[in-house]
Amino acid sequence: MKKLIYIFAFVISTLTSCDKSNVEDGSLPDISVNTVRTDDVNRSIRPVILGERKENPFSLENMKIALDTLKKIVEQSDEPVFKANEIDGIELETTDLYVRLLPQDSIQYKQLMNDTTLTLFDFPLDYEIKQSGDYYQDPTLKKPFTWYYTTVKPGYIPPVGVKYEIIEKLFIAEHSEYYSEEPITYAENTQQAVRRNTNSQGIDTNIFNALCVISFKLTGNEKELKQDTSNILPANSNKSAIMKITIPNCTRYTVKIGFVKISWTSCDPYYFPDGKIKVNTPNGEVGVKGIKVRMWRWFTYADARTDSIGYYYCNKDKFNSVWIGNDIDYHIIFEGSNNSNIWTLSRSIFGAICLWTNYYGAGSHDPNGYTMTFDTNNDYWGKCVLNNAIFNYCDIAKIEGISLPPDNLDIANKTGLYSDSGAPLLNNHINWSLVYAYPNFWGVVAQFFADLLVGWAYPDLMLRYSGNLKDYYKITSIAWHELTHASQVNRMISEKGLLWASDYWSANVYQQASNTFKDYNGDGNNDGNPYGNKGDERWQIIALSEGWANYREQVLAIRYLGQTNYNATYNLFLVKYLKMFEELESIGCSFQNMEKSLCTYSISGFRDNLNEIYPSLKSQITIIISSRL
Amino acid sequence: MRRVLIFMFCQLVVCSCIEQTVTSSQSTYKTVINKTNKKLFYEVQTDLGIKNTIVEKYDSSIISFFKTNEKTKIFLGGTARLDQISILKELIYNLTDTTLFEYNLEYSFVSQVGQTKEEKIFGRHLFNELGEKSTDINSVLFIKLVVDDSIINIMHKDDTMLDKFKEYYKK
Repeated sequence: MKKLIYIFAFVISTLTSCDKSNVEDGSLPDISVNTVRTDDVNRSIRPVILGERKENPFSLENMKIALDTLKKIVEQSDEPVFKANEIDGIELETTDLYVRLLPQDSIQYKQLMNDTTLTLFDFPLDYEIKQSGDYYQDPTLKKPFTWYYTTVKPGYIPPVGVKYEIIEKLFIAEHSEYYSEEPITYAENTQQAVRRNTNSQGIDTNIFNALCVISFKLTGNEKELKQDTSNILPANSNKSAIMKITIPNCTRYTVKIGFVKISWTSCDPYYFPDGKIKVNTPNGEVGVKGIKVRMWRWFTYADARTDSIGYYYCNKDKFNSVWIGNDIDYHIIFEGSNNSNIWTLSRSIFGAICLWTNYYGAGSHDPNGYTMTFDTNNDYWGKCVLNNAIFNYCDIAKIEGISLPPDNLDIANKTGLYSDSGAPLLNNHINWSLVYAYPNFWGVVAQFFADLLVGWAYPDLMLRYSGNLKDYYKITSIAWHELTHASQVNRMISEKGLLWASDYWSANVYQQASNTFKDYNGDGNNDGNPYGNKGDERWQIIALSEGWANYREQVLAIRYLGQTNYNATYNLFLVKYLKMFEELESIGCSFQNMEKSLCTYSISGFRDNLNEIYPSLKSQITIIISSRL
Repeated sequence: MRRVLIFMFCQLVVCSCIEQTVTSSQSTYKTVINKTNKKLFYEVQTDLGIKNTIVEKYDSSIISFFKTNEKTKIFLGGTARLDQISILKELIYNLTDTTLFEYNLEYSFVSQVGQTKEEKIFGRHLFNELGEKSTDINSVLFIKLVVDDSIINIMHKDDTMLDKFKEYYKK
């Protein structure tokens, strides 16, 4: 085994031109270099542009050629130390398959997207990337379908009907049966470390590093191998140019080849990228919370999630420093999470039909990590604000005893704040709005076909944003309004059951849609007023649900955003009910109990529910609510 | 491929049905009620422009602002939020005493609380009300400013008024 370490040193020294000055001194790299690159930060949404296809150094075929080359190096060497029997015994086998999948219809697409075991890329992983971007559409296919690329294990069975192609068989060392890792503690000296390695059952990483280096060289990808980084650091930097070592376990190795003595230090050979993703707000920069940061290079990829200050740390997966080279690619995926709550901000048609998850291609950066701030001139600024609004809402809901929104929310989003948002929650209740619209056989048929046609792309929330810092509070507050609806539906499901909640919300969705077509002011045109007036059909459902959402929006804007003059609605009909909740809170009714009491179709039912919870406040509650009956 | 095209077509049909274009409007009526024996000149600056009026003693006057958009796109049943008329600045000139009060806090419906003592006093004299048919798409907003002696007392001497209202002071 010791010999294999020497082989790696030999191969490295002969096949690459790595600067050894940093490793020969044997010193412990002690820094954390987080390169902040501001290029492309203030850009619009743009597609990924591919360059030439690269020869794949990880293909089984190329790895076998690399192994043969390595064996020849060993054979031709005069050094007895290189006569390693272990190499002869290595037979490379497929560890992974590089594949692509093409869903044939919306159901298959949804099925594929919901498969959490797959990490899907909408562009091929073995091409040069001329321009990093936010989406890729295969030019040979019609939107919205495109090939999805990933790696799977041999024997993978794709979903039925999904077109599936194996592009190449891969040999990825870390997935090989030969591969094992053993930590070497700092306390050990070189001899001890080498001795312990020699006794190990597995084959040392260095043999695979050697294979990899040869394969990269033979496939013309040697420029991607790790290069000296000293020249990219600022001149006044007092930090070492060596990569950040996240686990300071280093061993110094020396081998004499003829008259030449080669020394190198093998420290922890992995990158564990970390950094901060931030967004500019009227109160300065804040972290983008709970979003996914995806890092990848070739067929190694890892996901990390930002915490409440926007910090991410890739601690579960890692990047081998030899194979990764100087850069990895970063994607910021707008798939947020706050404990059990998960939401996906999707690119959409008309801001209503969810297509695919928004991701921001942040480009190639230092494998140690990448830090960036979304500003208003970045098209993704508004999505960051929405994401944080949802994350914060979940925290606030817990504090105030409000029900959390449903666990999974698909959110159609687009620019145009002064447009309309909504909470149809179509994936979180059994919607039969069309049966309300056409209470006959055809209504059932229409509902069935609507579900079949666009069911896969149904939104739960439709949220809007702008690119203007002054709209920050409004974007946040309106998102909170819609999330209040989501909480209310979740509360109804837990209190009354899914069917009851589904009927309530279907009726509400239908009625508001229907009201939009009415001409209330008699000018001969649709008014586009979904709320109608007191006395209209289902007006009490609307008064309660919208009065509540507007009230909560206003309260949250005032209390959590400091917007003391915030006004949620200009609709006089709703203002009366907004004030009703305000008055009920002032006499001591809690948000939680008001939300629970909303599980009713009528205002008198709401009053009765509340009176039951607060018998001592009965007369006051009755006076406040009765004036709105 | 045909299935994809059919799918796309149907999707567009569905989407075009759920989006509609309506005429939206915002109306703001600013009424100044003068409960003093001073003659006032009132000016209000909004994002739509500047308007002014003279308010005689113990009288009132109305300034209105109106904007409309015939191509407001909305979805069925969505919560529409439109860009309301913003009041950016208000100036009350007391022509009788050549004094002025300037209120610089932007608001559209709920008045700003105000930071200074004067702003707070002024804010307490603003009263907002929505019109009977006000909706989020067609909002109608009445803002009343009641000028009484407490407003007169927070005004400051402004000699530039002699020049600004030259014609008035000539008489």
